[in-house]
Amino acid sequence: MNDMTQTNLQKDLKIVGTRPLRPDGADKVTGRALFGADKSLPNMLVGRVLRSPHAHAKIISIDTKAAEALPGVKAVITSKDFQDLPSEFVPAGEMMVNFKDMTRNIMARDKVLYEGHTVAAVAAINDAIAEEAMALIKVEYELLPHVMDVEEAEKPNAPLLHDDMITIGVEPAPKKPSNVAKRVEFGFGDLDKGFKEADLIIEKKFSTQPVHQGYIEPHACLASVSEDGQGELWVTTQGPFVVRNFCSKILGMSTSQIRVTASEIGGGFGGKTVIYLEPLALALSRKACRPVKMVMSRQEVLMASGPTSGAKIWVKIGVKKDGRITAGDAVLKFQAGAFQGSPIGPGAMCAFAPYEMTNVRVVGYDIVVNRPKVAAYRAPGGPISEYAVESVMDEIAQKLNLDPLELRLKNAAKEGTQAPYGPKLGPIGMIETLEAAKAHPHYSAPLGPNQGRGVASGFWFNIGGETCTSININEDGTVGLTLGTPDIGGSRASMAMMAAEELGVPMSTIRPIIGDTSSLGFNFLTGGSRVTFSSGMAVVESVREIIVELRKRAAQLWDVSIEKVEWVSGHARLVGSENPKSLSLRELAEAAGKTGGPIVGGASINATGAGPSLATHIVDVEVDPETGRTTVLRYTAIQDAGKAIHPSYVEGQMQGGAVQGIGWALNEEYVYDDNGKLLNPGFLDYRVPVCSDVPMIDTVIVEVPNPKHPYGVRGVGETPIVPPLAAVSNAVSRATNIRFNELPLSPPRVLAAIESR
Amino acid sequence: MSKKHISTVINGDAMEFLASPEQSLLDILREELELTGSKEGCGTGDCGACSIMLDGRLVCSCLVLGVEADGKKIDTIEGMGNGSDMHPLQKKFLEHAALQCGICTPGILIAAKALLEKKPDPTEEEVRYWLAGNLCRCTGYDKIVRAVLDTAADMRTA
Amino acid sequence: MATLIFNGSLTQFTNGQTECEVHAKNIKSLLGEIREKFPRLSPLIESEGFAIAIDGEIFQDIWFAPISDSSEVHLIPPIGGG
Repeated sequence: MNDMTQTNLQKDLKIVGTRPLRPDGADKVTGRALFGADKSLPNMLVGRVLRSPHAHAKIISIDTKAAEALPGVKAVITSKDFQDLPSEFVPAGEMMVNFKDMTRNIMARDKVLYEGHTVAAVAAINDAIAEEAMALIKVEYELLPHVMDVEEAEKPNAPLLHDDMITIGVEPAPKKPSNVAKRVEFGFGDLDKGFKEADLIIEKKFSTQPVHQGYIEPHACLASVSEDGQGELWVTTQGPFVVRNFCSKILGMSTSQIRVTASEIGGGFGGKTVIYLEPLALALSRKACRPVKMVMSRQEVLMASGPTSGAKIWVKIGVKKDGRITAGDAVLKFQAGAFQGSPIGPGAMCAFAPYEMTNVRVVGYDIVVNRPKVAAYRAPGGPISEYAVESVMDEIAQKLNLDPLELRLKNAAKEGTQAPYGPKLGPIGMIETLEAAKAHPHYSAPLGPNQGRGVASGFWFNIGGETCTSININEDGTVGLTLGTPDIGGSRASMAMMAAEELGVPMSTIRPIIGDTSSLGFNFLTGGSRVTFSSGMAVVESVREIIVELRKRAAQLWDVSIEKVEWVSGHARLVGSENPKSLSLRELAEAAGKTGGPIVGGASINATGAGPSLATHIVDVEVDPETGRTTVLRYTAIQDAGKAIHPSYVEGQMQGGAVQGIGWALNEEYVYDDNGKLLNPGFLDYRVPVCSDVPMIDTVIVEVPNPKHPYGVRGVGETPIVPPLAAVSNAVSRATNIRFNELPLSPPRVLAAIESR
Repeated sequence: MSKKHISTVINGDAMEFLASPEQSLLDILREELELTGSKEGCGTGDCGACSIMLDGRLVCSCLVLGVEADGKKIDTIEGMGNGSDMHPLQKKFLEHAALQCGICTPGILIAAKALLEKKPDPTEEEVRYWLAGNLCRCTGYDKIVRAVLDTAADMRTA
Repeated sequence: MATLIFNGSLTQFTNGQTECEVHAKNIKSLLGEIREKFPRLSPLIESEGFAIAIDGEIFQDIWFAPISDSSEVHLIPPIGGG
């Protein structure tokens, strides 16, 4: 627990809240920064993965003899090279991952469960030979019927993916296995009573498709295991300590045997919180005793790395004539992919979370299907459930002729509101973002023909978690700061800013780096919008600890007690003396050896007190009635950041998340053929927003400080992707006067609806 | 099949390398010449992360064969600045926070530089359409477009 | 005595009980108390993981977060992020 009560709100902040250049910037704009695939080692081999061409099949046999005999091939691995692990759940992103499942996902054992599922891997002296070796591996499959849709998968005679899957969360437990991995339910109150009190009830079914996180950098790693069993892993990841943990378990190595260094990361958004190539590269390297580099192609990324869930959602909301919600009911069915673990829990918890509910129930199902296993994607689960609820809210506003922002204000959750999942909320900025939206010139701008305006709000929790940082005062008084959370969006800048603010020194004297797993204690991964909050908290605690040491050294030098020494603007100062004495950080550093040794500090915390971030988005679209094409004309994102340490990077999160949401709403989806094979595993046909698809994304940062962080920080990274799905869908609905209930709103779908109007 | 000997000028320096017929220019740059600034995001010319200039023309180096580069002039991100003096675009990108993870940044900078050399006074729409071949997943493109327009304005008055 | 509140589907495992008074002064002892009082609930939350909200503040994987006599405690699924 942290006693990091926020103390800096009233202070005159000099650095926090400004927009300095990021310390890692020069390397990033010159191509010098090294990402996952940018590193090589002497004597290196190339690793490649052989993948299942089938969506669902038994593996009858695998013959690797010919591949192993090919000159230039140094190692071939199959499931025989990995121990079978028992069922054990550990956190990964927001989902609990089961090691039995994880072992099977990184390398199929007796069954393949999706097209692209890893069946074997080879390491060879070059890519051409590796490719030839893969063609020589003979795999005999027995095809099984497959299932791709949650409603099909629930049916009693659906093809069964796991014959030991008994639905968790149902009492008494079902006697027969099924494809339903889990059932969750949240809520309170009396739904029947609530609906009876309603003047208007709207009930709708929605459908969303799986979408990929879409990071431009494919998964990549370079593993090197020595003859003595020590391993090094260079990898693009959001969580080097988590990768180390998972790989050591899967490979039967001890944690200290694997040293993981996080490369610069070319996007993650949750998709790089899990492992795919890493245990394969380590196993190949261990077998060959040479470094092995593995990089996924874009096709592999789309075929075999986790998208987020597609889903079916039912929402029923009852309101009074004046817009007050009397009851809310929802059922969510999320695709888990081939193994259990969709974000059904958080999705169900978030659905009605922006609102003060008296009667509410959300039921959720985690359902397996023959698709790649889902991985976390920015506010996992939230965008899906909140899309449905926010769409119904918009329809309610239309039917009752109420302003959609007013409708939300009438029902807005605030401090003390009981969340649908149980506990009471702390201070949150729902009302503030709604008021800011109402007051924004965008909201009252005129609209033309075929144009519509949509609004939607969004809620996401944000997390804290285990965090460890260290800080060293160099001999000349400059500062080294070591963080354990990879920088995916500019966090090195924010960390250096908070450290500089606390120490009272220029930011340029602080050099932040991301340490490897041997340099620090465990750090939970970068994700859950936790870095500015948790690493920030740890940085502040480290600096406050080092200030105590600096005051001690000054007290020693002045021969006074430490109470007589204060730290102000980067100097130790003697309190209340007629002859003002001060020692700069540099002077104290230069005397460090003589006063007891190097001046270092650190913090090791399990950060708690992360506060939810609320947002409201406004979007204007124009729908071409002849083609069904939607153009986004104007977009405004308003979000509560608690305190924006570096406003440019907070704005960046808001803009990036909004555009991902636009892609989710308008274009992105997986297209499979009847055999469960992916038809669009590339960026041409898996269409993410390009520069010409979107306008400027205007941002408004609202600040309702989080009292549990020294600077009032709330995580901001994930919430931005929550409102856009409904905001865009509501805008398209208003522009066409047709209520849409499925995503994406690609031109063929919109056109078909317009034509059948 | 044996490798072919290729001679080029890369970022102003004469360079030679051996290329297998199936190697892309991107593979050559990254693996043979260790110029890892150009990135592979898709291998099919859809993301622009591998953008370079080939004889003054903006291309996806993943769509050019290494052997095709014989006798040609290549400009990559590594040659964009002038020693420690970065190109105005590079400086503006940092000022505007026009990058988050930075993986698309080299490709976008090369493409933006090509635009400004061809059209010093682009409109927002022209910038957006010119950069439509460079995918970015982090920024939503807003600050990128602002940085390019701001650089264009600066360079015109310089 | 703090109050432990069961939301939604958890009541299936507590014989329909939605609330219960607990002696526990921290999360670790709370888990022990749940094991004693609701043996069918315990395996579910321990295998699947859980977070605990004490007076609205969410704690994940933290044994010694204090529970005061007037605390309201909720069990919720673990929350991570992307």
